[in-house]
Amino acid sequence: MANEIAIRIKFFSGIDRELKLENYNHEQGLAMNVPAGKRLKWALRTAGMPAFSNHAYFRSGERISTRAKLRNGDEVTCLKPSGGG
Amino acid sequence: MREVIGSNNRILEIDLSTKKFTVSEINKKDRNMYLGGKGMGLKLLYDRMEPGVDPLGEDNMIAFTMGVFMGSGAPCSGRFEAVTKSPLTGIMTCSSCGGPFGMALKTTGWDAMIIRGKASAPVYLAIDSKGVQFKPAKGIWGKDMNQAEAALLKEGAGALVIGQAGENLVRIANIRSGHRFVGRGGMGAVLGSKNVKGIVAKGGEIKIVPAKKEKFKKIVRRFNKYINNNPVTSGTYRSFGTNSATIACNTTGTIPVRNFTGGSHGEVHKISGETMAERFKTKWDTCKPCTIMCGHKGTIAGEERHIPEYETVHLLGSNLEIFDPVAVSDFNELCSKYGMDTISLGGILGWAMEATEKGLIKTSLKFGSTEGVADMIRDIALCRGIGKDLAQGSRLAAKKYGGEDFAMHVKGLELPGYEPRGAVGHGLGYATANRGGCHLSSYVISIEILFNMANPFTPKWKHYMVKFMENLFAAINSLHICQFTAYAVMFEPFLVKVSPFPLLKVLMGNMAPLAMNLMDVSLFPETWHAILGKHYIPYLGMLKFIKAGERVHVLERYMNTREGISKKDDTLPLRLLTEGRKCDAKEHTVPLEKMLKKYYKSRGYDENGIPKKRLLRRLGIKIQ
Repeated sequence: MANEIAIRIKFFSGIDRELKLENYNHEQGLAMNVPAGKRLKWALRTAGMPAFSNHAYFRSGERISTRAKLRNGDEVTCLKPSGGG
Repeated sequence: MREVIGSNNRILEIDLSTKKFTVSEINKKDRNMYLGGKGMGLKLLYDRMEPGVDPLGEDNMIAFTMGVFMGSGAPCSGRFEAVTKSPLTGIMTCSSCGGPFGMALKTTGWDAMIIRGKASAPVYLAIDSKGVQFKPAKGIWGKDMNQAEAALLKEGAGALVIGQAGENLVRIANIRSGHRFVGRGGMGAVLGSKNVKGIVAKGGEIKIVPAKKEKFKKIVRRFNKYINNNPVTSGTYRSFGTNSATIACNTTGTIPVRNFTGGSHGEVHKISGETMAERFKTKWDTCKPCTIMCGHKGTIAGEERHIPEYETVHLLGSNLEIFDPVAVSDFNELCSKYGMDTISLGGILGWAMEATEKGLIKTSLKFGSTEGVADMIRDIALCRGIGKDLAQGSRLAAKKYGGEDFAMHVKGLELPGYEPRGAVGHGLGYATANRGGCHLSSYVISIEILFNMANPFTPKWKHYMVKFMENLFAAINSLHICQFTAYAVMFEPFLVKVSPFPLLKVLMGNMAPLAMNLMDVSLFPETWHAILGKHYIPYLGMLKFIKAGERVHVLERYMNTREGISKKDDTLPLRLLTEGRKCDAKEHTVPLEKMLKKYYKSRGYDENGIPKKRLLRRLGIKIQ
């Protein structure tokens, strides 16, 4: 449909397990078609993410908030805050 | 077991040349000014060691210092500090280490141990509350770390050992305490140069009791609550270890790829913490006591092994374009056996692969290939063939063969697993870190990337962030408690918790001093005061604590300037200043010069990076 866009969300830090996504593949992520103009928050809710989750989201190497508007072909990485070593 | 209130305050000074030891007391004024751990180690050597000594000579000293927290029951306090002059960099190096040795030495009754001189033949030192016995190391000299440690642990609760790399004076040799390491700067070679194979402490002779027991109990409860509430210290570290940061860093182009040319890589998920946890069925294997539990072990290639840490994964993995976690674990195991720093080794191998590609040296090493890597690790540890030159570190190897522009080190210490062109404040932190290319001195990438509190590409206020974090971490490493606890404590204050995140970000970007001072870290000094039975004055106590951190950092800098360090050394490899990363269309570089000027000014250094007399006097550092 013309008013739909294709996006992909990659979940890490065990979030995929918490969302109970079946046959989830880290390389492929979760492919979704969402109505044009929707925000990341909408896509996450649709994927089963509870509201007020304390996660970090990245698009094209930059941190984004859940209020970011989605664009066709977006690949969003979703992970829990982490420290290094 | 004898009970000791607060701290035992005893120093064991060992002279290997004369096979004698003396016992002295920690000066109360020094305790107040330098806290313990790192600060105390530096102060003890500052008072005893002349500048200009050969790091591998008899006159170099190595200090092992426990903090006040060790043995008290404070969370994440199973850490001690080692301080010496580094054979890799020629300047002071300090290293924080977990594992059982620190607790064993402290509960044997020693707060600090200083070793000087050189034994006439290989020895190991057996420490009890009365002093030290010098025992011949005939049976363990030439053995690897696993064998040497197993032998020494028959005589005590905790041991430090070196491997063959330390014996062979490899400049990246480390020292092992259980599954943890005094890793950076080649301290294993310092012990090797003194003919010391290991040190074993009896342990269990004294029990430390906090002076203000009830207050201390309340503080510990609060500390544990903070750690257990924080998503990093209670979540990702526990589940995936330090390697939990891999995906975030890869996504933002801040991992080293192909000797710091790439920034990110499509295959990195194969070596991520998540993948390793799932594939190797990891479980906790951590320091004691610890509430965070970042250390993990699992089943790899049919045997139980320690899971490689973030730094190891990236220097021996992505930096060499190797994305096979079993191969990375194999290399890590070799380092644990021979006793070498995985960060420096990865930096050296990265340089060697690029130098081979450019025809400067002849090896079988190739980016993306595991072939020849394990053999080269053995050659470096045993100083065979070209391994003998690589064992001197990337700076000296590049000086001999060429390729200095792509030898990725600062002041001779190879860079850790963060690509600073994607986090420029972290780049400033590399340039100004006292021991050379070190991520732990300020770790500003946590503000820029991991917690997303500042734009990672702008130099704005980065000088202040680096300075604040350097002071804080120097103080924390002097207490001495795991640096990771800072994440849990810093974000707990009421004002920080109730402020909307975008507001904090705007504050951090535009008024960093205000934003950073909202981060109340008073829990650290409150604990120190409760253990020693001192009166803690809210807020003023915290300012005094941060000032102690500043004193420790500046003392180390001052000691380094006496060794010839100045602005010319506070720099980054040319690649980071002039070339963009492959993953970055905008080709960002690190605008170092801009940040460095402001950093010097805010620190109170002159334009050449030398601490001004006024600053030294303000901090109570005796000018020598």
